[in-house]
Amino acid sequence: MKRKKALRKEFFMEIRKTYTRFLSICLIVMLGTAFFAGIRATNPDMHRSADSFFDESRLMDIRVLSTLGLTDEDVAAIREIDGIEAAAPVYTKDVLTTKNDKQLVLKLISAGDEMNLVTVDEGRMPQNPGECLVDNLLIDKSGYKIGDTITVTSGDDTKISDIVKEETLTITGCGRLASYLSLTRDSSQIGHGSVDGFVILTPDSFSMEVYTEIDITVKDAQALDCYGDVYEAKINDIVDRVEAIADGRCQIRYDNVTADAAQSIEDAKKEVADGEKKLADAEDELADAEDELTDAKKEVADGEKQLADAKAEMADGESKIADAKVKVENGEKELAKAKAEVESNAKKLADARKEIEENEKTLNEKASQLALSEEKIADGKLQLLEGWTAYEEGLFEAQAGLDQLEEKSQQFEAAVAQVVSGREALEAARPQIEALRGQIIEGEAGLSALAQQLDTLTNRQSELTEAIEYYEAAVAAGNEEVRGAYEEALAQKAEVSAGIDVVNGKISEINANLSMAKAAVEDFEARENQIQEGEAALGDIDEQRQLIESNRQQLEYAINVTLPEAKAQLTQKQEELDNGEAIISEGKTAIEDGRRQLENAKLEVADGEAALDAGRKTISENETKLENSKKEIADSERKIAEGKAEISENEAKLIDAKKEIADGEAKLSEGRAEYEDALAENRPKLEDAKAEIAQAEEDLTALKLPKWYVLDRDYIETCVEYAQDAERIGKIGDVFPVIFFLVAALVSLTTMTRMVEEERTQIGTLKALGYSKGSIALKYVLYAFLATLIGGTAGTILGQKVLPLIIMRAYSILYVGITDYEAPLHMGYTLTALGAAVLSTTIAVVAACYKELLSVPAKLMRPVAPKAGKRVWLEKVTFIWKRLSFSYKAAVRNLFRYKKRFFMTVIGIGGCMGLLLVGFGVKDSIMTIGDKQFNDIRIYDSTVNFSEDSSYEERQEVYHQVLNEENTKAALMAIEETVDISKDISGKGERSAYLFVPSETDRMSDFIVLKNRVTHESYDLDDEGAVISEKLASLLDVGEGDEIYIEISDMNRVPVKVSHIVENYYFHYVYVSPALYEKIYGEKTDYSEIFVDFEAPSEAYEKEFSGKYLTFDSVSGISYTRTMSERIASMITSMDAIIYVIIISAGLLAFVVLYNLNNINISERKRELATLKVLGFFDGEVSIYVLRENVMLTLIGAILGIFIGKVLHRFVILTAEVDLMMFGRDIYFKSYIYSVLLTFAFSAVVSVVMHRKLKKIDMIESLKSVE
Amino acid sequence: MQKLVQMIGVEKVYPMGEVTIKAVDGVEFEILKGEFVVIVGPSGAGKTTVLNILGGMDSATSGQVIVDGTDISKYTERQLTAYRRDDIGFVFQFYNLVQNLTALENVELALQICKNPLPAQRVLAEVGLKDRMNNFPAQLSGGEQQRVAIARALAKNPKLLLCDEPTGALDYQTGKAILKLLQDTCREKGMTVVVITHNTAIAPMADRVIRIKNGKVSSMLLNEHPVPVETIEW
Repeated sequence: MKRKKALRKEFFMEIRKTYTRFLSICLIVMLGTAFFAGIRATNPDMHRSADSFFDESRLMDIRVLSTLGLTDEDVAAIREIDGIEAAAPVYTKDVLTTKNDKQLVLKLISAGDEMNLVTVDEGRMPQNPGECLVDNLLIDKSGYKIGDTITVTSGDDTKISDIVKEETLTITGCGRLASYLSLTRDSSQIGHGSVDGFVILTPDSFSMEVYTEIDITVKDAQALDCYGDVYEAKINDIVDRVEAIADGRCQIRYDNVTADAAQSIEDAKKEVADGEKKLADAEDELADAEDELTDAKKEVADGEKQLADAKAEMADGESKIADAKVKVENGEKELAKAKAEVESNAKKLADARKEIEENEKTLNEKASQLALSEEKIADGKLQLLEGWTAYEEGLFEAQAGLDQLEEKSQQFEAAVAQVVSGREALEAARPQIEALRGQIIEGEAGLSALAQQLDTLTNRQSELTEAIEYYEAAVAAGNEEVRGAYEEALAQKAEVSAGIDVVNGKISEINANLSMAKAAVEDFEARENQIQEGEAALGDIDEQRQLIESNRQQLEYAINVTLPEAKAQLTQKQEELDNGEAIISEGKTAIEDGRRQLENAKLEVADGEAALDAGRKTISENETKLENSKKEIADSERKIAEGKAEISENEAKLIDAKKEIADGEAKLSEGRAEYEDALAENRPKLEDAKAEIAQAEEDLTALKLPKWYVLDRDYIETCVEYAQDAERIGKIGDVFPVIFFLVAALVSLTTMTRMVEEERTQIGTLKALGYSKGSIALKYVLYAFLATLIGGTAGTILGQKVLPLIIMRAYSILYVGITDYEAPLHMGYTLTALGAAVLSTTIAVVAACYKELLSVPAKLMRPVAPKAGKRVWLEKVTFIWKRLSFSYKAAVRNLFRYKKRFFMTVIGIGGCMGLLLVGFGVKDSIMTIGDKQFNDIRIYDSTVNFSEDSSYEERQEVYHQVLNEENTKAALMAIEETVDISKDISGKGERSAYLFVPSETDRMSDFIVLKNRVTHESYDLDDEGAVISEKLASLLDVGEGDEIYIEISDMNRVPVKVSHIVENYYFHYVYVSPALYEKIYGEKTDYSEIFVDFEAPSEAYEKEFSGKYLTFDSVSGISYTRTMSERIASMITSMDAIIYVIIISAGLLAFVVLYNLNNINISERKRELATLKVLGFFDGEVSIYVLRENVMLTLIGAILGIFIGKVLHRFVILTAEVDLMMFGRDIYFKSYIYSVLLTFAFSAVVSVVMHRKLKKIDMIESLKSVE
Repeated sequence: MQKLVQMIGVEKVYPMGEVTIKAVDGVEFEILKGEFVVIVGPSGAGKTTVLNILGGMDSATSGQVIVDGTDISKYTERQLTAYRRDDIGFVFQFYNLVQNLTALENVELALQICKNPLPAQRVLAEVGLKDRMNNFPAQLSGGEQQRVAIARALAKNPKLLLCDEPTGALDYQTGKAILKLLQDTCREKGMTVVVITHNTAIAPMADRVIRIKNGKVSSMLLNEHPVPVETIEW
């Protein structure tokens, strides 16, 4: 028990000590298991999310349809069947409506309260006839709002009143049905052929005679997984039971229908009789109308006479007005002359004023200049005063300085005499002192000789003491042999001690003499110092004397020369100032004169202005008079114009009356013609009706027994598509996680191998102590097991909780029906992932420590020999090797030295790069659809669709008008219609595609480019065969030269040779020439669309274009490719989530692998790196030495990653592709760049972390022995 | 002769939780230029710590370490690295050669970073490895590996050659040969060589013997007449 306890403690200590290693295993296992479990769980999670939505809305399990409709009796009969939980009758009917000039096909469905419940997203369910709830799609795409009304019309020959009670429906809410998960709805027999959205009505809104379908739920089916086998078996069983009663029910229904039909034939016969009566009544009405016309003609003649009189009066008035106008014009001319004169006077005055102002300005300037000069003179006077004072002071100072200098010179001479006498006394004492110094040196030498003697003696004494101790011990131990030696040693010791005393005596004597002599010497030296200081203080005597002399000369020069010069300057300045003052007073008088002259000029100007104002007043008075005359003339003119208008009005009235009469006559003749036509028309119609009745009677006898179709959920298109998409993800899940698993196993293997290597000595010790192999190995197995368990548990939970949700969210763009996604934990995946992870790491650990455990302890405790250096093959390629710098050589050798590390890093980085490429590549591939489809292949800008009932002439008119638009580059008539294509004449594996027929094959390349995706070879349409799109070819599995069958009717399929296969990404297309079309269909082409290229497509122009052409009755719709490619581009943003997941996991992968391997690398080479530091490598240089290898590995890994990425990308694209589209096969160049950059960025992050780690390596490591 | 190294009151204290351990406790000594110095002392006496401080691998807690006139005890991490790079040659007990580089490349590794190195081939020839230059360390004997290490240190043209137990991992004869190589280098090139060892027997070959005990210099001896290593037996 104790033993285990110690090991256990050591085990936990180990984890704590090496937590980074432990964590890295945790992390890589977490990544591996998260991907494994997460992606695998997505498939069942998608199923489950759908299943619970189906259960919640109680989606029916079985739907029964009949060719002749279903009755309440049928419902009752089905309810009788054993195993059925409920059966509900449902009305459905496709109808038409128009919204924003666009025809929409709506599917009316009666609401059920037992099954197929509507999930109401907004508003409420309808409660009365006249209310409805609409498909979310109609709100989003067709522009309806809650509260809007929809008016529906019938799309076939059924009357609308036979379908619904109220034609106008108010929208009360919107929602979704479980049977429509995606954005596509059913196809329809009416309108443009596909349903735009469903509309839910209350059952009592319908006025249909029979139910369209009966929906059935099966007992106990709801609890089952609807994508499981058990559910399928159960439903198949019930389907069989329903089919069993089908024949009986059909017979009954048949009998009822035939009875009804016989009744309606009788009714029709009665109607024919009524029609014949109506024709006779019409003839009478025509005669009455002719009489009314003759009365009207008389009234018109009277009116014409009155008009001629009024016209004569008008001419008179007009001549009077002309005279008045001439007078007014003369007056105006005179006035203009007067105005011009006044204005010229005004201008002269203004000029005079300006001149005055200028003069004033110059005067002011002069005055201010004068003021300035005055200030300057005042300043000059002040300076002069200061100059005089300075001169007086200078004179006084110079004389005082001369006196002081004399005194100083006398003092200096006295000091010199004193020092010279001191020096003489000192030199006399010097010889005596020199003798004393000699004595001191001699004494010291004697002293050191004595000290040495003392040392030798002391050493001898201690040696003897040691010897004596030894001998004593020996004697005490009874060794008598040494006694003699012992005695001798004792004697010697005494002798030595005496010697020491003598020497000590001598030393103290000499010391006393020495101190006396030293005192005398010190005294002498002190005195000498004093004298030297005095000499130094006096310095060079001659220099001092010279200095004094030069000072004296300077002062005398100042008194005799400099000061008198200054005096002369000051006197001159005084004179200059007096002159300045005289000039200023002259200037002042001149300015005063100028001012007086200006005042006089101003008075003259004011007089002139007063005269001007008087002139202006007279002019304005004359102007008012003229205006009044003009007004009078205008009034007269207006009156005349009014008279004229009245006359022309009356004339118009007369013309209208004449026209009315003519119309009446025309109508009459038309009525007569109509009658004749109706007669001619209705006679045959009546005959036809009679024939029809006969036909109906015949049909009745030919009426076949109705048939029931019993369908399960597999017939609901979106349910099946959804299941297929889920399976695709499942398939990706089979392959993708393998990379992570592989890397996880490799990382654990290397990590554990390193751990075992590090603990070699410990293993040896434990073995030597007698522990069994099992209990030693257990530690490592447990270590890995624990790490795997923690990482695996976290990974499986995280993976299953996060990944499915992200993927499903991306899919929810397609499947808008499901809003609540579930991501439960699956025990199965959790256990498989955990089990696989535990198994692979455990095997890795056992493999890692197996070899060590087999060795003997002695070998284990010896250090393992360092791996020998080796030359690498690259060295043989001398022309490369020579060019490598020294550090690169070392790095290359290291790369090849640690092969395991090399391969692991390359695989890890390659995996990272590959994943990134897949992530970006998938985005590129989807982008290609919008990008290439609408920019390279279908390069037209717009299509204009004609309504089915428009005539050839109407279509030609629109076509020519479009061609003549300024912004139209080119336009082409064409057919584009849906056909079914199969490889087999029986129609097996049929695919729906668009059949495209251009009216002119040679112009087709302006609108649609037919070319090979790989070789870029372009094709033209010929009359021999059809060109089909690539994806269609691969789905049908046909190649060039093979035959495909185009379905014309159920039983008629025509073979066509495939001449070429072309690049295409969205939908399937079959292109044929007009001649070939006629050959296939046996009828002439009837072009139903115009393809248009604009010069400059823009949103604004598209709006304008739509607004113009949608008003034509013959145009049923216009669409634009610009919006199509935009819509696809926006769809791609939903892929971002998946791409982020991939980038993050790629980053984690790169980080874990690089971090782990770098860690191992550094710990293995700690000694080497510490040595480099000791050699004086800076931290940066050490990092570069190691991390250079990372850069190389990342480069090699990235190159490998390109291949991995390409293969993986192709796989993912082929698996994830839906039938309707072809994803692009290529990864864009920029994605390669992004991937490489990201890979290097991840590598750089690791390098930064490693740099920190390298900095921490202690240089002391280099001193340790090899482990 | 000029003083190359002067240690004044050098202390190194390691805090170990609440207690502090004084590995070096006021070491004082000096080394003259061109001397062959042996630092001896028992295990744990602090001689390696002294070497680490002198070699710029560690810094003193207090005191002054003056090398060629500058005090390195206040140097920053970076200055210390530059000091190791330019002024110090280091010889390890376990050679510490880079296994993946040949003898010549190991020497070049050191040369790569220093200011005025000696040519690698010449130095290798001088230590007697003229014919073994292109061998990997694993192909060399212990003595040869230590010669490569000495060549690596010498090629940097350092001011001071520090050797930490240079014969510790070698047999008697080889050890002697290595010591002779070091002694010859000192005599012939005027290189200042400091050898750390616990083997007191080799003290007589030194110009200066510094004994370290309990983190202090217990004695420093100047040897007037160092003997050639061949005459020493242990």
